[in-house]
Amino acid sequence: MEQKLNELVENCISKLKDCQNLNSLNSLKIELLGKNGELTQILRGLKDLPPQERPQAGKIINKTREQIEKLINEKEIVLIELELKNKLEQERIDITLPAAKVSRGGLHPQTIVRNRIIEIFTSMGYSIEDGPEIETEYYNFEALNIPDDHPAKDMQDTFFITDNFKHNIILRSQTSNTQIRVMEKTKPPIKMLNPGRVYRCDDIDATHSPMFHQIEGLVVDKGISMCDLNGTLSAFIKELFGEKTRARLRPSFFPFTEPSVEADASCPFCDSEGCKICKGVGWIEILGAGMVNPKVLENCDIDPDVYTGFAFGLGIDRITNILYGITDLRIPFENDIRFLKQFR
Amino acid sequence: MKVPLSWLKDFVDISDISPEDLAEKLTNIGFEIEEIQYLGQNIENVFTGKITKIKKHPNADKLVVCDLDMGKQTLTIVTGADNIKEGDIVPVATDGAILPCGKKIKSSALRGVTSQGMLCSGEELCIDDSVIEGAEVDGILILPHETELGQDIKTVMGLDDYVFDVSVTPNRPDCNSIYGIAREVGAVLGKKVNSPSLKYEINNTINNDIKVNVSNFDLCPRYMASRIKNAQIMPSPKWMRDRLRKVGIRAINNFADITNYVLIEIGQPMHAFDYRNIEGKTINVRMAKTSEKITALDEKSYSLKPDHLVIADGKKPIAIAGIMGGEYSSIALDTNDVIFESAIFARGNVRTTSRNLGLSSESSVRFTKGVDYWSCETGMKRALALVWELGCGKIVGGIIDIKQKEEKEKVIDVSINKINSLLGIEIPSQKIAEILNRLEIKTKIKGDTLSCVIPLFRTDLENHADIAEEIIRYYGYDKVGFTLPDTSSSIKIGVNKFYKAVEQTMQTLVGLGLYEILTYSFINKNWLIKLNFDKDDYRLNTIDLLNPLSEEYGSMRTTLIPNLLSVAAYNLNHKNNEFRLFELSRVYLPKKLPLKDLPQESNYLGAVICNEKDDFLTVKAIVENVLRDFGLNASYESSKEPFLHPGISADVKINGQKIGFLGAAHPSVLKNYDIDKTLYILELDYDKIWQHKKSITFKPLSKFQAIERDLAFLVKEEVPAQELIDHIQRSGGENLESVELFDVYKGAQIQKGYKSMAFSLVFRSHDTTLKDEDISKNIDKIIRGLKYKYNAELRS
Repeated sequence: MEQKLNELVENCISKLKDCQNLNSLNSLKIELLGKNGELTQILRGLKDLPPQERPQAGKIINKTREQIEKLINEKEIVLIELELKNKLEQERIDITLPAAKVSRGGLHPQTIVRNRIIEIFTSMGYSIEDGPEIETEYYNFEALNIPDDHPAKDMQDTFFITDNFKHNIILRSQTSNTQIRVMEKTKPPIKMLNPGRVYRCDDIDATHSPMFHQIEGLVVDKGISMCDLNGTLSAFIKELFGEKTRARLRPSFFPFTEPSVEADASCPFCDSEGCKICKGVGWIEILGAGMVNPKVLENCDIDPDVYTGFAFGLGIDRITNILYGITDLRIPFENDIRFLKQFR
Repeated sequence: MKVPLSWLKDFVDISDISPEDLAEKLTNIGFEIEEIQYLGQNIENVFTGKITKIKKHPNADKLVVCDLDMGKQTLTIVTGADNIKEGDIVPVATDGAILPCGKKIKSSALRGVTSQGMLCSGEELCIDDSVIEGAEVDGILILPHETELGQDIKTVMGLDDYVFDVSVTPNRPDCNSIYGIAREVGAVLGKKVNSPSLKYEINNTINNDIKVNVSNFDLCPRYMASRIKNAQIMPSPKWMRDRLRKVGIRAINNFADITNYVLIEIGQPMHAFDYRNIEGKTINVRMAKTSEKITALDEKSYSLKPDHLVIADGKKPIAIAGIMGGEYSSIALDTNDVIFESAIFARGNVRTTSRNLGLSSESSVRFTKGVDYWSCETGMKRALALVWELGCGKIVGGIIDIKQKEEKEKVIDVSINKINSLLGIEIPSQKIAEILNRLEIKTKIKGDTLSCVIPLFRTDLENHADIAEEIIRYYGYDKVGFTLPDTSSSIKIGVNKFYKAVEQTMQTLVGLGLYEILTYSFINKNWLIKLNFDKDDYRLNTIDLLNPLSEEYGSMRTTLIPNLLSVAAYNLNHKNNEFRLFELSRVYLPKKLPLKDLPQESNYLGAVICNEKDDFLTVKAIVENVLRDFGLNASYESSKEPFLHPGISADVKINGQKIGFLGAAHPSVLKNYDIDKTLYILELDYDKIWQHKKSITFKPLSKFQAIERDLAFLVKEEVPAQELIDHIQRSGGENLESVELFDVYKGAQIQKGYKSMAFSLVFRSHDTTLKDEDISKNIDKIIRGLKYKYNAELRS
């Protein structure tokens, strides 16, 4: 019997070698250990043995059984792993196929830039305010120290909606109307930003648009100085164009600020060496700014002997186009999906 | 403002500074140089030479060989020209020369004879008779006999000159003149500025017998008139014509040229009348009478109105004040008695009159910028000095000078402390005084007070901020420090919530695969007709512009739909066949037309979707995702929007209020836009969504197990799913946690005209584990209710 059992184990080992999948392993399991399996047969033969030999023989049979089970289990683990491996291999795909057409959309490049600018200023504690695009002449001109006969009105040809002399309703030509609206309802300290659409009677071409986007900034408090304006604009320009960028102020004129300046950034594309983008001069015009004209403060019932302030206004369209190298103002308004997909 | 440097040199020495450096200095004090033009650009190595001998060409009948004396050398040049003779002085393009047309000249053999250059015609040098007489003849340009030999042709023709195009800001009308710029140049270079020559002699034997009356001093604060007898009308001298040409003014005759010269040099527009045509020898500065007419120098007749200021003689208008003279009293070739006018006309009136009549001139453009007492008087004196210098008439004694008041230089007292604190830096008082003195602002310092005497030509200076600007633009913006405002007290928390919501909505849309677009706020009113609107639809009540660029941009939009469809059409035309686009921007809704009050400007969200895989439900998902950010659930009702497919469209409602719509575009609208694809559009009133927003409150989670039940019903096809869901929710009892429609089936096993809808219901209690019998009552109620209301049959 012992010999038989040994043969059984040998047989098992040799059959396991040939066993290539879980099915044949299962068959083998039944063949060896099942109800009609060989081991069961041997077990049944126990009753033919003399009683005193039976316990010993039973022990041996059980041991053999354990041995075979262990062998099968070991093989089973190997086979499961193998089958999984095969299955995964069959599922292999061509990972170089183009990605499926499920994807995020994107914001318009102008919004991306606007959000960046707003983030810079809101991180410095600016609030975001709003003003009407359809506005009275008072808020767009008079209150900003642009009287009816002032030549500054020639700087911007305005779209008119009504023609009632003096009390005309127009499309605002600048976001500066929001300065007045905010100063009328809020007393200093004021620290605000207003992004919005503005309109001027310019025929549409590569460098002109009848509608564009500005961001207005205004700070009014006790003791605000030109240095505060300079520091603010410099911080902004460095944040937007990179730490290496420098800001410079140049004298300019706006009726609602005095002194008035233009702020330039050293060209970040050529390190001020002179390139196509800065037209060879090494500087890029970024925005107009200045100290709030005392007359404007007076118009809003803010005492210019107590309070001073600065204001600035920048064109989002222009800055977007500079940042992305867009050379034609019309392209962003065409909204060609091939254009829109370039900005994420 | 065009400024030839040769003219500027009359007043200030700029010989030791390069044009580029000068441009930078001017830019730094607020006068941006938009262009530096070198007049002699592209003319190189062309010199004057005298033809000493003309010989026949040995090998060609039509060519001759010339010997040229170039001053320091001689050249041999072959030419085909036949208008030359020995002794002529001509321009010679020598070996290596470059001509304006881009042509390069080299020594080369012409039929066996070496030509060391080329003789030039006026045309080859790109000049005409206005530059030098004879430039337009067919053949070689023959220069005057006295021309020096071996000179650069640019010097001979006055082309060795730079012209700056200076951008003058509107607050500095005084700098719209050569002399005004010269003052600034003098101040920035620290150099003396020479006054223009105002020297002339008066002929006292005759009187200025013109009477001047000014009836409206508000519109004409000062009027000056002078008389020149024995005037000889002829072309002005070349130097004057050259200068006018460089600033873009055509020479006419000496008197017209003198007025233009003064306009450019001093910044004062002037006018010249023919004395003999001034009836009554009276000049009346008055408002035009109703239906008065004048034929102006442009030979057109203008009907005047009582708000137009005119210069009239005893009978009729002879000029539209500050804009243009009348033809009748203008200077003619036989004029021999001239009246010069130099006046101040209010810029506002000149502007409105000019706009009103559709007539403008160099003079009116200058007046609208503003002139002053100084330029008025200096201009007149300068004109007389030029008449005297040119010797073209006898100046009659006594300039008539009618003015509202004696204008005195105003004095502004400012605090030095205040200026320094506005600038944020400490500029020493002495430095401040020095800068202002250079600008002809006389100063006195008494403690903290700075007394400034403002010259008459600086009408822009009024307060301490103006003075601060004068100081800092000369002191240098590079000396301004860098600080950040100390306004921590002004920081308001949470004021930017709306803006943050907009950002969130945009991110949600982007996450759903939409791209943001930006379109003009303008629409073409006719586009609205393309949308099938009823006549009384409020969206046809657009706010229209009085002066639009064109009809296409004539009205402010009342809906985003036309622009969305246009952008869709644009993309489809460019074979971009798949897109999901949105715009979150304003529409403009008038309360009443014509506009009396400012309209409502509402933020709207619009989207257009063109994608084969997308359908109505995709667009609905977009709407629901947007609303979810605000804690909102919408209900949907069939929409009657005329531009939407009647069967595939819905109005979106929140708390019963319509906030927008979505659906497939109506085929007839698509046809109007030449679109042959299915498009889905949506528009939501974003401000209304914002108003309805709900804050989210946490609902405690139940610890107990849920029971799930699936129920399928057979109902008529037209029964809306939402109604069944609403009904189930209402009658499901307090333990009904959720209802979800998971299958809609029409087809083989279903009776025609019916559909099967399968719902998954989840019941859960907060207090106990539910048993089947706990919910069976609710299930029965749902089944009975649906049967009763919708004749819905439970499928088993």
